[in-house]
Amino acid sequence: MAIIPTNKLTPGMVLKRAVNDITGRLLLGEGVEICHKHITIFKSWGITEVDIEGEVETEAVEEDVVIQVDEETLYKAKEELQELFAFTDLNNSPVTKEIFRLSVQHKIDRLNGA
Amino acid sequence: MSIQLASLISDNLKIFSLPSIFLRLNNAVNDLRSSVTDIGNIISEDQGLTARILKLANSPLYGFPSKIETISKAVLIIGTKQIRDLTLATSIIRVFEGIPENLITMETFWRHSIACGVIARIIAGYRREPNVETFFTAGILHDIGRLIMYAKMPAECRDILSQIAKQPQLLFKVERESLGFNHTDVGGLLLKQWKLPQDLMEAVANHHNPDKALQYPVEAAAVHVADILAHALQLGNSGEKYIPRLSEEAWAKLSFQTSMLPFLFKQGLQHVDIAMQIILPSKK
Repeated sequence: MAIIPTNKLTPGMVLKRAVNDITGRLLLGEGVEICHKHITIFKSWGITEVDIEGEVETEAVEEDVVIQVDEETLYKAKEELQELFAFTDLNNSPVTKEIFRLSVQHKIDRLNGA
Repeated sequence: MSIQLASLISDNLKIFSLPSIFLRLNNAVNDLRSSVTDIGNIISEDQGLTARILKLANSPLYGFPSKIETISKAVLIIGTKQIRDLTLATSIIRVFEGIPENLITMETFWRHSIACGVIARIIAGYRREPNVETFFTAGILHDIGRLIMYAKMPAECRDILSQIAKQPQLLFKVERESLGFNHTDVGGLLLKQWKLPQDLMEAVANHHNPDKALQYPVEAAAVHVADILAHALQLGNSGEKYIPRLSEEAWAKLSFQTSMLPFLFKQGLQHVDIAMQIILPSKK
């Protein structure tokens, strides 16, 4: 099994677990082979990841944004943001960790003038 | 409630009053006999408001498939209660025009507020909430108590801010330690005095402790999370130097996977600037 982000799904993959929307309504049942239309439905109902049968090459699952940045910029961004996050639970909260990761990425984009 | 807090609000009701057009709109919305046309007519009396609502409704944030050209169509599509909240969201900035900007610049303050509103609205959209404008408005109003405090008790606020500059701490905590109340109390009380709907009041009053919102926990949780994300994106600021700690209960209440966060970031960034341009009065 593998949890795959919706934007990495390809037709032909098989659902390991049923997909429900946020209210619990069933969108697609377990064991169904995914087609293009399903992926569109997942995206429009805010499904960000689904559970897929079998092994999926890890390469496909890896983060698509590789932060290309020199050491100094990365250090500067992280240092500044660590101060901003000083009173959060950065060590224990996975959600906070992800917010931090996204902030660093955004900060680097800004420093690079993107 | 402390005497200081009570007098802070009662003094200010005379100074900071809601636009009369909002009050009439509110009465019309609460009156079962009023029609979509009646409500459209009230809005149309204010050209600036009409333009702001139409611009917003036609912006990518709303993503309606066809152009909304008249206010009555906007009322029909967005809904009467939701139009009322949207009117508040796009008019509130004018209520606080002319506050001395010694402690904070208005643009920075409203940028944070609008970012919070936009993200709260995106959260509501993903959750398929029927009242997305309430989330938007609650986000825009969430730190309003701070404006009252900056305007009416600048010396105390300055002390608190310099205390934090010396020794890092969360502003809303120091507010309570020094004064016995914080900006969420002031904001909640102001909204109550203004007789604004309970959902807005609860979300504003509880955005730092969303588990205390009993009737509207999702609204409060969304504003709590949106506030944190607006901070994390460093979009404006209302005086708080550090990001408040995330309430895991509030996050759980939204029933999002962690993988939803990149979408909230991306869309928040995408829409904040447009919302700013529409809502903030242009500099003369």
